[in-house]
Amino acid sequence: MITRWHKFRTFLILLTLTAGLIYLLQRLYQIQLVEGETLRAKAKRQHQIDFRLSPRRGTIYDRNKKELAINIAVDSIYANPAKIRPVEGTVRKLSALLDISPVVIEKKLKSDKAFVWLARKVKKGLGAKVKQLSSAGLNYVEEVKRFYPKGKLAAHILGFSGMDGKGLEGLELYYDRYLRGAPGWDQSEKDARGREILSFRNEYSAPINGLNLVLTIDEVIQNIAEQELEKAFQKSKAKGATIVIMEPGTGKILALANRPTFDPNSFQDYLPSQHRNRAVTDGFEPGSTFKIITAAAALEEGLFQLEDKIFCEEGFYRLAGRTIRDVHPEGWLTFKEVVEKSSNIGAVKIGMALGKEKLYRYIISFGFGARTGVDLPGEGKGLVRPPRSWSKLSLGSIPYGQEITVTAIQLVSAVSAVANGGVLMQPRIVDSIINKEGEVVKKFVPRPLRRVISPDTAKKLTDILVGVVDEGTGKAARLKEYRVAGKTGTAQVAGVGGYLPGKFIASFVGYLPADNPQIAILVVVDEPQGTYYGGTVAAPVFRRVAEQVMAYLKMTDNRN
Amino acid sequence: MIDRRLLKNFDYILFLLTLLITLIGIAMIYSASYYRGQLFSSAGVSYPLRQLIWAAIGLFSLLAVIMIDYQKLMKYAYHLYGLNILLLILVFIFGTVSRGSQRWINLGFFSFQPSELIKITVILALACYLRDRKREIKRVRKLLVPFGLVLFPFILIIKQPDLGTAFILLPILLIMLYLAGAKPRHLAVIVLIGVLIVAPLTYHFVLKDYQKGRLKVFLNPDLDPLGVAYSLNQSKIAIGSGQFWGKGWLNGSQTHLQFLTAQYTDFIFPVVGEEWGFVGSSFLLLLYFFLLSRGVAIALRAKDSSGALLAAGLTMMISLHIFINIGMTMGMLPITGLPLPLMSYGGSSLLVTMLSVGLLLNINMRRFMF
Repeated sequence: MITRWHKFRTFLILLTLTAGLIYLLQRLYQIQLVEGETLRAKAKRQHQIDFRLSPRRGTIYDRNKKELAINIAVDSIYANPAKIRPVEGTVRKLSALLDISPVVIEKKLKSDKAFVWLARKVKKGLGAKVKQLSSAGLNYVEEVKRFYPKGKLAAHILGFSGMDGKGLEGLELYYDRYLRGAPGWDQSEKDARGREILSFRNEYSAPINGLNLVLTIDEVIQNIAEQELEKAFQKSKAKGATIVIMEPGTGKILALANRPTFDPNSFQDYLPSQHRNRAVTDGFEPGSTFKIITAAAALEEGLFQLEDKIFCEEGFYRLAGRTIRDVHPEGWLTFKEVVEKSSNIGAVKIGMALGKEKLYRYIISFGFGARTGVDLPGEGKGLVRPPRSWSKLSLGSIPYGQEITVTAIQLVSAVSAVANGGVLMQPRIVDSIINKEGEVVKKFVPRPLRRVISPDTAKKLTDILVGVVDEGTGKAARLKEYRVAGKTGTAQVAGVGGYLPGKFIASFVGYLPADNPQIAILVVVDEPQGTYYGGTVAAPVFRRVAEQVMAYLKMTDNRN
Repeated sequence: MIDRRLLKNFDYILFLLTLLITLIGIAMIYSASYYRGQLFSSAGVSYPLRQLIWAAIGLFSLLAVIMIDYQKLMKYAYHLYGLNILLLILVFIFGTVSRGSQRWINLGFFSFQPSELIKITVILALACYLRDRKREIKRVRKLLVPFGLVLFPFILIIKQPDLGTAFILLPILLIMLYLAGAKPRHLAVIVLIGVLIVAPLTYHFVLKDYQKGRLKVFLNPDLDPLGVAYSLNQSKIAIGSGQFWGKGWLNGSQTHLQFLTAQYTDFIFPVVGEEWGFVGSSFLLLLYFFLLSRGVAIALRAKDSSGALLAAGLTMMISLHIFINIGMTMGMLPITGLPLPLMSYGGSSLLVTMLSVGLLLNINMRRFMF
């Protein structure tokens, strides 16, 4: 019979079961609710794989939609060293196919990793050939590579982007935010053995391709500029050279080139100094071209008329214990002649008439001593000291472009202001950003910064500068068809302890047609050998470029 | 043949709980064997379908066992016990070897584990021997026979080896002795001797290296996360990642991506944990608890001591499986390889649990019949 103690013992068992249940529930609570978050993350790490889907980098076009930077399909070849048998024969064949030394390949194949890159971004089709050597151990993926179809053309403008598709220099760097786009992600799951489960592919977010740039640069004009610059650079055996062509009315840069240059397709093979876009990064003493600014200030202030006489001291002028000399000593010159004949003494006297403060104010107003804000990376400011730190000698130097440094982009912008009737424009190199359908996403309209001189002053100054080319130091820049306004510059190169003998920067800045300027051009040749005058080294380059560019513009105008 | 009075005392709740858990089990086996759009199968029949067939066989056996008065069965308790021992011996001659142990007798389409059935026949034999020996059993000498009844199959099963099944016989024995009236003092001394002498001996002479590894991992789970502890850690990750609501049926990543091992057999509970979360797992635990409490109630109401002992023994057997299996998946007990009753894939286990439930129903139905 079932007795009471038996019931008691059975009841004890029920109690034990209840305790067991509570214990299990407590553990369940602990694992699922307390540690649940951590364990879920752990689970996710185990089975989730993310694939990065690279976006396509935007294309860079010139103003006529000619491609300057594009993407091309390439192969990237990798190996699983453990699966390559026999090693020796494969190394030899790989070396021949990939054009890499057998020693390098052998070293890579000795790795104990399951994945090593053998060659990144090589010619399309090479991957398939390599895979035939060992289908188990060698494979490739298709990638895209940045390609600059025009080679060295516009190298400093375009810059380059690295292996990972990130902009490193030039517009590639400055507009990287727009060009690079955004990567997409493909999420997938893998099982315990690491196999991907295709049916689990989900949460696909498509990569967003980069936007395209349309430049203000004209490929044809750029080409003309580069060719002529190259010729002059070679002929003069100069240390460097720069050319900038701007549309004066808008501040649009039509061409910009430097020497020495590089090929962005193989930028690694060049020195960083060759990558540098000197036109915007480097300041130099402008020399006589800067007299344009001094003259502009004096005219605007109404201190001189074009025919006012200035005594040029027969070429020797002592000021604050220093002698200022002119290359061609003169006595009395008109204001106009001072500029035409490029008298330093005349310029100093004009500067003294202006005084420190006014001269400084105009220098700043013309945009010197500050970044122009051009859309290129690494822009320099040049060096303009405030009047309070000018020495007694400063007024004997600055009016003709010494003791001050400017960048090429500043100088061409300032001269463009004179050319367009007195308004300083913001220099620009990108005209618009467009999407792949060609719709404009962002348009950069010409941006006037400020009026620096009156139209009347600008016109007078243009007359003077036409005189420079017609009768003065800039005769080599003369063209048959157009009136050219311009100014030569021959600056000494400053070094430790003063100006270096025999080292000059020859330059010419000008614009045409004088009565309705379409282009402003600055040519700078750094340390030419042999003849070193701006009028003999830079002015001829200006003329040849101007002649071809005007012919081209006329042709395209007629066509339109 | 079936009297109306019998039907009146048919425990529908116990019966329906059994069916419900079995169906949940089949759903979970479906999910656990689902991989890359296909179901695991053996001989062309998928695992859930096989389990369904076994459930049908089990149900049939359950109903068959109800027909025969358990007291009649009691008369043949020793015969059945002897027959089962014979089957255990036959395993060594005809048995098939799988994963290093010889446990199965191949019956063509299915294979069967006599070691599963022995749990019932041992309980039957113990109930038969212990009934109405309340007084005698207080003497230590009288404990020899029940110990002997367990010792034979224990040794035979350990030889297979199937340690989980062998060792589960010991607590069943102790609890039945306790309920039959043995002195707790005696039982405590026996347990002490067992732990101090038998356990170390077993560890050194009986346990294989993988079994020692499981024990070590249980004591220190960080020992070897990718080796032996792998199953355990994956089990915890699966359960835990289910959090409150679970990931949904067929959506358990750890289950479907094969991170869980033996996910349709011993580790079926983590599948529930992952796919149905805290809500589903605790619901399942409660279902089990109700099922067991029905068993205890039947033991309490049985008309005679053999019925009470039999019911208690069977209930204990089922509950030990449940606690050990779920405890193992949550890292509270070492990995033993005991199935989760009614849930784990495996015909023998399902059949034995169904038979046990059948016997419980049987005892309940006949509580007023003399």
